[in-house]
Amino acid sequence: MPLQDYKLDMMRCEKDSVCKFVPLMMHDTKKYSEICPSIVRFNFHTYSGSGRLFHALGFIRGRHDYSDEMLNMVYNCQMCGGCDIACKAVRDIEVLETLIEMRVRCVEDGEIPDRVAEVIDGLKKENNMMISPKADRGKWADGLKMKDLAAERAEVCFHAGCRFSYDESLWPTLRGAIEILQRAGVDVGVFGQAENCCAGRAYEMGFQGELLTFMQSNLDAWKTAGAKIVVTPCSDCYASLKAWYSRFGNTVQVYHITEYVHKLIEEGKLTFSKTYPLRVTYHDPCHLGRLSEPYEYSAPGKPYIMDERPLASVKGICCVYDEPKPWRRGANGVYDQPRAILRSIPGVSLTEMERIRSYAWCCGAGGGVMQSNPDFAQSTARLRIEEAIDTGAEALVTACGWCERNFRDAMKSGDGPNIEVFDILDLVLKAI
Amino acid sequence: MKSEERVRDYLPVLKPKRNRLSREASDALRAILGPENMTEDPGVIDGYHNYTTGQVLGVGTMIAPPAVVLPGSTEEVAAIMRVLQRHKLKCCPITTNYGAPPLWGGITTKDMIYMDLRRMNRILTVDTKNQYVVVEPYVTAAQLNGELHKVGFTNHCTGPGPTIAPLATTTQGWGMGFDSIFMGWSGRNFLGGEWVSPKGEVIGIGAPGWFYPDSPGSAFYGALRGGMGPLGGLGVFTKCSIKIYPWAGQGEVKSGDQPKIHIERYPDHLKVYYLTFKSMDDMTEFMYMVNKANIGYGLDKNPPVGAVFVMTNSNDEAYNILASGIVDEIFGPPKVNVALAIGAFSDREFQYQLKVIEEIIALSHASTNDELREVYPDMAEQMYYHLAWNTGTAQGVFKAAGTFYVGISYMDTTDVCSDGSLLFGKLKKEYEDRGLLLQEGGESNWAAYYEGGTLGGLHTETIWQGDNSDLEQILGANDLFFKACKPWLDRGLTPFWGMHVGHFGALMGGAASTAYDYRCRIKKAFDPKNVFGNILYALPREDD
Repeated sequence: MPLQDYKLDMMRCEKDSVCKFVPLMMHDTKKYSEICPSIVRFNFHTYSGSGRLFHALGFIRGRHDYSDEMLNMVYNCQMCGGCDIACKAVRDIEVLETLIEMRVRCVEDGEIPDRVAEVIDGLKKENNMMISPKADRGKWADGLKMKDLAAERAEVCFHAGCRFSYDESLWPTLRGAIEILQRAGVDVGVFGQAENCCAGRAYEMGFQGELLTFMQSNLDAWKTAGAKIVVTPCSDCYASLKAWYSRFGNTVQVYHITEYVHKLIEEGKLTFSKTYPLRVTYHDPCHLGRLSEPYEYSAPGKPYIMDERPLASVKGICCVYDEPKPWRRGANGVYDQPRAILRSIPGVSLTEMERIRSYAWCCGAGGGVMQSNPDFAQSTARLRIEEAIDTGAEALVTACGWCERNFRDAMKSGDGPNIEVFDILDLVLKAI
Repeated sequence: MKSEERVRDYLPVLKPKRNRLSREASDALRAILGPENMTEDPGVIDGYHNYTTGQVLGVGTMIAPPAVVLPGSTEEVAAIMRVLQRHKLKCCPITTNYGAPPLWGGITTKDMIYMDLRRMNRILTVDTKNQYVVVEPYVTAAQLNGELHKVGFTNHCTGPGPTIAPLATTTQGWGMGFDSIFMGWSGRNFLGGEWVSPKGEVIGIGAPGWFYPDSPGSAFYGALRGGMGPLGGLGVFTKCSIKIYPWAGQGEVKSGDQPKIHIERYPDHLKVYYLTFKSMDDMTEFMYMVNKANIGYGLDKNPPVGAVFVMTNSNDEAYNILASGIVDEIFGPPKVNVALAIGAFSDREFQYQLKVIEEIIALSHASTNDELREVYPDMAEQMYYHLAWNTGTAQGVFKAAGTFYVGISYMDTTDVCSDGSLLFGKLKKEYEDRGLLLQEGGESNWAAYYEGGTLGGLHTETIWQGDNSDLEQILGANDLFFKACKPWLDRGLTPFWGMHVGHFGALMGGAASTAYDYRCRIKKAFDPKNVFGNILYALPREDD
């Protein structure tokens, strides 16, 4: 839906700053009361969800044009959805949708930061977001015995995702995931070199066309391979398949690996035989949590109502829709399964951070920020690492390769807060 | 004001006038702040440019400031003030942005810059022994409460809700707070502060330890703060000491995700009622009894439609409840509704309060709305948050239609306020019927007591809701505002706003008392060049 169609959402913002904070009745320490990395780093109100709505309104009304500073503002946002969730606790406003459409408009107008353009050029040429050769995509699976979905059929497609496929430090996690699935007797295969990017991250950078192209390509590939289920260890891919694909009318039977592992544990197909004593805290990846909530439809076969002119009701002016609008408020993300897995690993004890579940603080890597402004991505990660350390945990556990990489990068210099980082699968593998 | 003039007032919003700083002024500010803490970019500046209540009143226009600055310390604020004086620029300080531009928190002249105080956001002192905190401008009430609740205290929060900045409301504003029955009003909790004058002088107000034993009146504090507050029209407070109160909500346990954070365990000594009275007279009697009993931890008289939006999680959900007619039947007009919290600090005190309030409820023939709990089981939870955490306002007054307008408001005896509520309800009906405002089917007053009703009785605000993207509705709301003033002026009474809105002060004439004249003199004494050009406060006049 074009940016200008969100005009009423832009105008209805009362500038109450709710979008900057965790739920108002859940405030604990002031230090961890904020939810928006962008406003925390850049401070101008314009960098908040509210400010971005007003900015977009000014833009569609022709009050200002593109500038370097304006583009910096637009792209210095992780699209983590924290503002959206915070606002929707009290209002019916589509904040995140508007932010994405603003980027879509930038792309349509050819106004893209250089670093973003470079990444998207890589996607177009090599089918991945890592600016790496297509031919290297399947290397992580070298030596593993499993079905090649480019030539064979399997019930489950394991979609590794760009980050996991090209980040060698994450390969043990990937290979471990395959081991877990195979030990449980799952009929699983991979596309290897032929796997495509999900394009969710490209969409969050404003490239809607790329999302639609890659979505169709992926849907066709999975169909051809006979895959009924997609399992992915990547939270970005998970949100892409579950939320963004559903936004454009496609339902994919997708499991995040934590959901699948949890299912295997529940079914007794995966049991732990070793103890791994470790006090951990769990970071909810935005894309596994609030951003993974799928779009719902008001009625079967009817399109999702994005926004429409509100109709007069019996109470006169009231922003309601001709059919009830299903709102995405983040409550239906994957929050419980990762925690259940951690609690079931012998020796592991879980202690929670203040900002968790739908109001978790972002790791900083999302929305293309890791690519376009790594300094901002890492400063955001350091705030999360501090929060993890403050719990007294010995390790920070997450369920997303992007989060894990960004946490590690943020600690590279060695002069900031430091904590051991695990993917949740790493702990599972240590205990089976 | 003629309709065409109002249209002209509205249109500049679409194409705001832009001004640029001189190179010298820009360089001077940048030298103080560094490049990352100042912007002159029109796109970034547009992120400050919202549309709210102010347009209803037809005052001023939305003008884009030439710059936004982000000072990080008192010294930087003072240095900025000196640059502004030197370059004949004006300043609008803002915190968490609640406000009604261009009335306050808004740019009113093209040479006015925004001073966004976000970088000054520290809680400097929490002194539970002496019951005060010292905060910087951008600390929010929710942040402060988060820290205070852990040590058994809480702080007063004005009606807009927990994202307000206590420094701003304490030093600059008025406005009802649903906890005011227990915690007083904003200015009442002001114990001291650090103030940067329009000339850039840094002045401490209050003795060491931040206590200032004065009250609003003839002293320096009284002159700066006044009763209504300067609303950003007189210097910048960079630190503020605020009185804090015991928290009756200890023991509460919550969990879950937005938008329903569930209460797993209610506090032992805090209870919330949602009461419906058969008539305004019954409610008035109830208020007087509550006042006399010196009881209550939170109180909010709200219109039923607003209450439904407080208690629901989306407009669709509220709409379905309203459309069913059940709400009209249970607590529609002529019935009147009040949310009340009692809070205590020991079992014995709580038991005493329970006995007293239940007797008062019985004497005033109020219903405790058990039927509504069946319609909407989360009612108790939502009302608890509304009164204990002040979270309901955005739902109650922003969500339904898009924006809200604060119209005629009073601070008077409960009887007078009750009469005013009914009168305004009648005036408003025509506009509801024409589709210009949200239909509330009766009076639309929100009200709260200050200090058990001992300070000027009841504070009421008529808040009505409309769609701010619709010019017809804005004009309708504007008409209603002026029409509603007249009956009060005819009675020799003061519509609340008349006391502190510059050009409305002139409209109200004698009914606005001499408060405006005094503010003009104070303004001339401290800000003769009108650096803080807020039109809502006062203008320096040559003949003063």
